[in-house]
Amino acid sequence: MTPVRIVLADDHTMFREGMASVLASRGDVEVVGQGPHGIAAVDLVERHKPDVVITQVEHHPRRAEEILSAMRSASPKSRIVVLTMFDNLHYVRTLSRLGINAYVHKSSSVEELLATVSALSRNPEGDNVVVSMPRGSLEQIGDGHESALSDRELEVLVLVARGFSNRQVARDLHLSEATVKRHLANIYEKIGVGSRSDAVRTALAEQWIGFHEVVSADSDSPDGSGGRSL
Amino acid sequence: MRILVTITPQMYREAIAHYLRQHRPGYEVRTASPEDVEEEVRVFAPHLLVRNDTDGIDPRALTNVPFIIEVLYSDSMDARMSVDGRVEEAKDISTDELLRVADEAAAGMRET
Repeated sequence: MTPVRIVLADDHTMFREGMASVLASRGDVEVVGQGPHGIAAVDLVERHKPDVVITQVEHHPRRAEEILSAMRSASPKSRIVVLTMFDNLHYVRTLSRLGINAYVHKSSSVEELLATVSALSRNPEGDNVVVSMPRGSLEQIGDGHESALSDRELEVLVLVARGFSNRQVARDLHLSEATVKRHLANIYEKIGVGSRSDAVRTALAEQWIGFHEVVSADSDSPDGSGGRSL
Repeated sequence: MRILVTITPQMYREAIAHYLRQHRPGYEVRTASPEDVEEEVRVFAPHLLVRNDTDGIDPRALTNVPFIIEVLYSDSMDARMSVDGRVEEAKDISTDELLRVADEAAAGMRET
């Protein structure tokens, strides 16, 4: 039987090598490339055209879109498994729209990851997304305000939660400040709050936005500082 | 030689433990979630603990653990290694580094 060829992308060397060791211990899997996640991983995908890409994603959705789209273009037939600490449904939905094949929260077990790889490789034409995430997050599936907020409004909320001013949000999202104010006014009205701090508190409490999404250190931080995240 | 791995999240913890078991089959490797660490340290008495610095463990519970690898989640994922009283820092710890510290811990254990 031909082994499933895998590219593994994660910033943390010890964890990545450990994960590669787990995968390689399965006779039906071959890790053909491994390295940090992000654009560097796109080169690996381009070079190896693996059956499955397992990649860490801890970015703001726009950055994730850039990387995942590049991977998709580099190897359209590869199945993409996202490993992440983000545990909110907004992020799952966003990545699903980007064409990922599996969303595996890092609190999942190694066995769950192996089962995901196995499921994807046995059904290479399947269109379902495999999701493994904490029960508590799934139980937060709402039918109210979260679904009423647009993707753009949720993006604005994430940036506000990061401490961005209206001007910084506007610059980051390439909007005018007036548009940001209008989005905020719409958010307040839709979720029934009167201030940005109440909006953020509610969004975090209801898991419309995720804590890791807010604290994730990437180029979108207001001070532009970089850094790696889990 | 006893090694306790308490790194979070679970996937990382299991991957590191798997690597140690595969490459050092003579070592006894256990995993525990952070909430069970203090009890595991007491019962298992590890020679080496692999943990992260945001696990909330009371440092007083670890005073009898001679070797500790602490991944600094609070600081860009670098690592601090307490090797028999000596403290080393590593930029991006690898599995080679992990095995080196584990082997030093084993050697230190044989000497005592």
